[in-house]
Formats: sequence, structure tokens, C-alpha cells
Amino acid sequence: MQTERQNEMTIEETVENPLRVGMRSQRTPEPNTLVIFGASGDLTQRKLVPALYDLSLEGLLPGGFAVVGMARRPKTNSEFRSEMKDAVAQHSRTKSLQPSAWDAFAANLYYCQAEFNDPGGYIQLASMLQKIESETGCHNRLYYLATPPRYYSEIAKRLGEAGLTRRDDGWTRIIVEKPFGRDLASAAELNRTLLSVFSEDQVYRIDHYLGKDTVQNILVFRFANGIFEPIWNRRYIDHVQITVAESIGIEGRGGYYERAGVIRDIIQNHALQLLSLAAMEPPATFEPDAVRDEKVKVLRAVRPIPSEDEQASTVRGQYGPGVISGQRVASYREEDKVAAESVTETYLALRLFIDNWRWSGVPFYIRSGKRLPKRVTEIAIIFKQPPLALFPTTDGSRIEPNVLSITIQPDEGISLNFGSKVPGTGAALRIRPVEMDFRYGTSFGVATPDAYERLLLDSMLGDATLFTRRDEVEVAWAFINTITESWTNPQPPSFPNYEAGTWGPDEADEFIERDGRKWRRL
Amino acid sequence: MAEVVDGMEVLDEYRAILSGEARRVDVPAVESELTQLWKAAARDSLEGQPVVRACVLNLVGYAQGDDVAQHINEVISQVSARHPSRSIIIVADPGAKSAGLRASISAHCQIPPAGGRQVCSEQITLHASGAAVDEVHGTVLPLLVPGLPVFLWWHDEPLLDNHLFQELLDSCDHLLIDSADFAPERTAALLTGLQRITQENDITLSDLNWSRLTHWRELVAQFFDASPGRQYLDRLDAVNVEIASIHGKKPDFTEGLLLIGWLASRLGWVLEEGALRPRLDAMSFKLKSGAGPVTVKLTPDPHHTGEGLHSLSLRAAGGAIFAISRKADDPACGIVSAELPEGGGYSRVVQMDLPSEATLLSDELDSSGHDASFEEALAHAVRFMDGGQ
Repeated sequence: MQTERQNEMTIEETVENPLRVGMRSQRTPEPNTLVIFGASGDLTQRKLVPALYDLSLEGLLPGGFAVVGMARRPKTNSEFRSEMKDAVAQHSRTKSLQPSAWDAFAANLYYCQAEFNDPGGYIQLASMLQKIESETGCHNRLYYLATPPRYYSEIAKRLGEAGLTRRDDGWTRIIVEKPFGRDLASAAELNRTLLSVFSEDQVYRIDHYLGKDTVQNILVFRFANGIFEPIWNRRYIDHVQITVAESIGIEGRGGYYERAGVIRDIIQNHALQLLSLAAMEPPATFEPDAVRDEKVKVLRAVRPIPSEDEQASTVRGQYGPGVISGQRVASYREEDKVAAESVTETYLALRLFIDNWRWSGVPFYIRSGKRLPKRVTEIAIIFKQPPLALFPTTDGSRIEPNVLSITIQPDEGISLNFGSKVPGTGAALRIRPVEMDFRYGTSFGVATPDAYERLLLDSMLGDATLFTRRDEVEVAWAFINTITESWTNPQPPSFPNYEAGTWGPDEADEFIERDGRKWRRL
Repeated sequence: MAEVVDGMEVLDEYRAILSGEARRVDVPAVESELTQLWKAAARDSLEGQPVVRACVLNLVGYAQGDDVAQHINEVISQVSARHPSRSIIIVADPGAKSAGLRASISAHCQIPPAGGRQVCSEQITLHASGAAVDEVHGTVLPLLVPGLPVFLWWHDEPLLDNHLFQELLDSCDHLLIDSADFAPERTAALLTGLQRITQENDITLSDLNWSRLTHWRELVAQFFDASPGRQYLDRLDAVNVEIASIHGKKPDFTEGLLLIGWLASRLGWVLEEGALRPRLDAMSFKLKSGAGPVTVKLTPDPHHTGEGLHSLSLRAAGGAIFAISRKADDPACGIVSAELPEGGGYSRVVQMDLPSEATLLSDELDSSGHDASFEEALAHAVRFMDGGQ
């Protein structure tokens, strides 16, 4: 198998561009052709092609860039372009479609109709790529698997059989969407299949959360500021809460969600990514493998949850009917393609520990769920109380601990709570928590770019920092497996156990209160 | 306002300020009036009108005359969302017979794109006339928010030996100018002088005309990021720049010269033969690269009226041509093309909006230190303007 390093000889041989000195962007990708498998799907229309168009409009795509959409439905190039035009008009970040820019972009959009398991389709694809590349003179290829996961292995194998992964005169990479497997065994199997035809440095496992500016800002916040790192450890931090809350339900994805549940849909990927970014050690450099090495170390240090601890360490929930924003919503079991007696969890709270020098003994509480009161994702660092209660409160209550919260969405920002004296000359000293607040929208006043734009560009540039490595995926699944395996016990929770529009089951509150703590009110 | 803090009248007054109205205040009371404003805003926030004051820099603007001041006010209003600041606008009327100084306060408020609380920046406008102009820095300095960078935006040709200009320079970190506003015959001398003064005072000099080139430079660099384009970068032998022009008006070559200056500084080109053509409406000269001579031509294009660059073409030995040109029927878009002798050329359309002054200013406010690329490009451009002298 040819390695990415060999494939990238053209990059290595390229002398650095002196015109880039002092410029904000350091380079544009080499000319390439992006093949999207699943070109008729929602992801292609809502995210991928609009993101590519926006990149093109900003001049961030190279000359000699083309897109081939591959899917099962028969359609012509012209029909595909027309569909994509509608999609871009609806979903592009820019407000209106610019006719001349669209025409130029659309001229390089092509469609290839084929079944994903049909070898003939890949011969047809190879022929299209050859024709496009003869015009552009470039031989770099990026495959994007935007299909249902059951096709991932099939497509990878067929690409290998058709000789479409071996390149002597350019690079070839493949982007794989989440979910990456449904447990450790299936993820490992998928890795084996991919790596039988690609090398690891050709594989870009995407988790779009990592493309968000605010997620990347976690590293900047921690490692570009000297004041936080000294207190970012067990000595000063009491516990950490990570919340990924959604107010929406399953949005017609009952078939998928029944197999996934919140643990596979959110916890295994988004939540554990946030955990690793919040808890990792500083990397030696800001190079892809240096960053990912540190993330993997965190995940390896997460203490497995044995089945006997399952009750004490996790709480599962499933929503019943309720009201959100004044609208009555149905229960999970009433959703389309959901079993009437489904035991799939739509809410999960868990407590975990990271057994390393920095975090030993500090609990990390993670909660995520559907149909919660609002959409919010945040990491909250709750600091320890001062060693001595110097200031007695009049009502005997304790002074609130300092909390540093990093909000990922929707109102991205960072805030720090601390106690302050309430103004007044009375005999009693009154202390009230106040908030020092930084909001992205306030300080920078700009909408952050779409995560897919960033990730597509990075993958074309060969920068894998924001993509998940094989070992990272498998270590995350190994931890998740310890939880899901303990759920196979004969006594599943009595579902539904929380009302849509509330913050999850009562058991979740009792669960954290047993530790003398409480969930943050968001 | 301060006397009736608790009354509804005060709330109405401050709401008027937050909605853009200027309120005249006593000069010594500017700071305390602003404090009262934000106190009232905090009280109103508790009653459901959430407002937050934000400030990440000091922006001092200098304008001669009310029209220019009004223009500056509008531009600051547009950049305040991205760069919430304390802005201090000096409206100078140095020719007035009597000396006078009056002040007003106002605010620029925006709802951030993500929604949420209204974010407000404060503005102080100082009208100085007659002899008071020379002394207005004494009013400005105590109004600067401590610990934050100070940008001085001189919206005119700076008078290098002007007392106020020199005093304000002493207190700022960044000087913003727009060389497009300079009279062409004075541009070289002014830029040379500004470069010297800012270097002596360790101040960052920023030119909005350089910012206009950002997108052009990005597109030029893209040609040479990878093979096969990269191999031609060291073999460029001709550069042609067309400048949009207005009939009857002397063309301004500064932006084009900065672009050539950038190429020269990055690629090690030196001026071989300074030769301004006898015609004043075009420029040509020869540079020398490691591979041989480079011919440079800047010509106004009478078919494309307006501002800034219209097209750029770079030719390399062997016949490769790299070109960027605004579309005639849609100047907000440009055609970027490469013709390579071995084949594999391309042509594409990209967005090329003419950046507004607010966009340019905003880009410059983003910068936090010296821009070595600009300083080197400027040094070359000034030499080209002087014809190699």
C-alpha cells in the first residue's frame, strides 16, 4: 500500500512560497477533485456543497478544483447542478447566490450515477476522474463518505479494487463521517477495512464539533493564557460538568436513533472530544499528531465503568410527551420508526474519573439529552471553595464556588463567576456571585465560519489536527463499551422517565446530589 | 443628567443616546457623564432591556470639518460591532478666529449576529476651533481607556510637523492613514516621512491602501502555492497593472506601486532603471530578479472607471501567464486564470467586492503589531515613486 507520505511527494518537493510570508492564510490547497458518495443526501445539500461554494466565493479553493457527486438516483450533470443550486441558495452562509460565481463553480460539478456495491460504477467514476484530471492537470483526490454508515466498508473496498486509492502522481484522502462504528468491534472492523486500502494518514474521520471555532478556542484559552494552566488541576478544581443539551427531538431519524441512542450519537464522539480537549496536557507542538497524542492519553486514562458501578455512575432517560417553547411535543416512543416499547436512551448522565496526575479524584459529570429545555453545549469548571470561610453569611448559606464556563453553543463565550460584596453600609457583610463575561459575538461581532468549511479546507491541505485518529476512536469506544455492556442487564429503567422540556429524569439530580453537588442551571 | 438619576427622564435621555443621538456635555464632565450613562444602562438591563458596554481598544479619529467628521462617525459605527471601542473624534477647525472646545457623547449599539444582548461602544466627539486645536491632545489623553491599544486614524494628509499630530503620535500605538487620499505629487514625500516618524517612535503604521490589496495578494500567492505554478515564480519577467481611472482625473498609482513593491520585496527584485515615462498618466520601469530583467508597467484603463486596481497580469519566461481581472459586467467578481505552456491552466470566478472603508479599517484594527510585509513593500514603492532616486 502506498503511503500518504509517498503520495505527497509533490508537496514535499514544492519550495515554500515566499509570497506567503506575513499573510494570514499560509497556503491554498493543491488542485484536487472531491468525490462525494451520497450526493443526493441531506448532508451534501445542507452542508457540503454550500460550504464548498462559500469557500469558492472567498477564493479559498484552488484553480482546478472539481466535485463529483456519486449516488444511486439517476440524474444528469445538469440536473445535479440545478439541485445543488437550490441547496446553495437555501443553505449558503452568504446571503444571496452570485450568478457569475455560481456559474463558474457549477461548471466543475459532475454527477456519477451508480450503486455503491457495483464495480461498474467505480470504473465509470475512474473514467470521469481521468477526464477531469486531463483538463485540470492535477491528480489529487479526496473522497467524502456522506452515505449511511453501512456503506462505508463497501465503498472503501470497491475504491481499492478499482485502483482508485493508489496514486503515484498526487495525493488521495478519504473523509469518513460519524458515526464511526456502533461499538468497539464494529469501529475496529471499519478501521481494518479502511486501512486495508488506505494508510492511516489518508483517513480523515470527521467530527464536525472539532471544526467549530469555539471548540478550537478551548486550546487557545488554556494554552495561550498563562493564568489558567497553573490552576487547571486537581488541587484547585472540585469537578467538571460537560453538558450537550438539545431541545429538538430525533427529527425523523427514528431508525438511526433506535440503534444509536444518545451514548453513540453524542457521548462517544462530541462529549468525549470536549472532555479530552478540556483535560489534555499541553502538546509539545501544535502539530496534528502531537495534539492527538495528548487527547488519546486522556481517553486512555478514563477509568472504565464496571457493571457493578453502573447504577452509581450513570443515569439513563427517555423523554415522554411535554411542552417546549409553548409547543406540545410527542414522546420518543411516538416518533416515527421507534418501537412502542423502545428502551433506547435519549438522555444520559454519567460520572467518570481520569486516572492521571492532573485529574486524580476529580469527577467529570457529563450529561446529554434530547428534548431538554434548550440547546446549549458548555464545559463548566467548578473550583474548590476557599480553605477557610472567612466571611460568614447572614443566612448561613455557603458562598458559591467560582465557576469558569466555556459555552460552545449557541451563545459562544467564556464566563467566570466570583463572589463580590453587595454594596451597603449595614453591619452584615453580604456576598453575591457576579459574572465576568466574554462573548464571542460581543468582542468580535462576527458570525463564526461554518465548521464544514474549515474541515473541508483542512482535509484538502492535509492538516489532520481536527480529525480523529484510529486509536482515538477505538479508545473512546472501549470506554463506551464498558457502559453499554453493563446495560444489557435484565432490568432496564422504566421509560419514559422525563418529560420533554425538562432537564432530564429526577434520578439525574439525585445522582449528582449524592456526591454533594448539583447540576448547573443553564 | 446626573442630578436626576432616578427619574424616568434620565432613562429616556440615555435611551436616546444608545439609539444614536449625541448629547452635548461639559468637557471636564465627559468621563462622569459616561459613567452615569452606563449606570443607567445597567439599571435598564435589570428591567429587561439588556445592554452591555464593550471596549477592546481606543480609536482616536482626526477630521477637519463637520462633513468629514460625519463620515468618520458612520465608519466607526459600522466597525463598532467587530471592534467595540472608546472612540474619540476630534473635529478640528484650525482656521477659526476664536478658540473653543466643546464635547458631546454618543453610542453605537448593535445586536450581535448570534443574537443576545445589545452591545454598545461609546464615542466622544470633541469640536476644537482656533488655537484650541493645537491643545486638544490635553483633553484626549485623560479620556483614553488605560491598558488598551490606541489607534490614531488621521483622516487627511498628515502634516508631519503639526504640533497636535506629533503630540497624539506620542500616545498612540498604531497610526492609520489612507494614502489614496494623498495628492499624488506629495504621496512619496509623505509616505517617506511617515515611515521615518513611526519607526522612530516605534509606532505601527497602517495604510488602508495596503489593506485594499489583501485580496489581490492572496489571489497572486495562490498561483504559486503548488506545482506547476510554483516553478514560474522565480522566472517572472513582466508585470502589467491596469488601474481603473476617472476621466480628467490624475490616476493614482500608489496602490499598484504597493503591489509591485510587495512582489519586489518578497522576490528580491531590485530597481535597475528608474524611468518614469514622459507621459504623466502611465508608469514603467525595469527591475532585476535573480533570473533576469522584469518589466513593470502601470497604466490607467479608461474603459474601467472607479477606484483601485482593475487587472494584474504576470508573465513568466517560457510563456506562462497568470492574470486577475475584475469582470467588466460584474466588478464585484473577478476572473482568475493561469495559462501554462505545458497545459493544465484554469480560469475561475471569485468574489472581489471593492472593500468599504469600514471593512478596510476593521482589517487594520485586527492587527496587533508591525506588518513587516507592508513596511518592506512601502520602502520599495517609495523608491519606485522617486524613480529610483
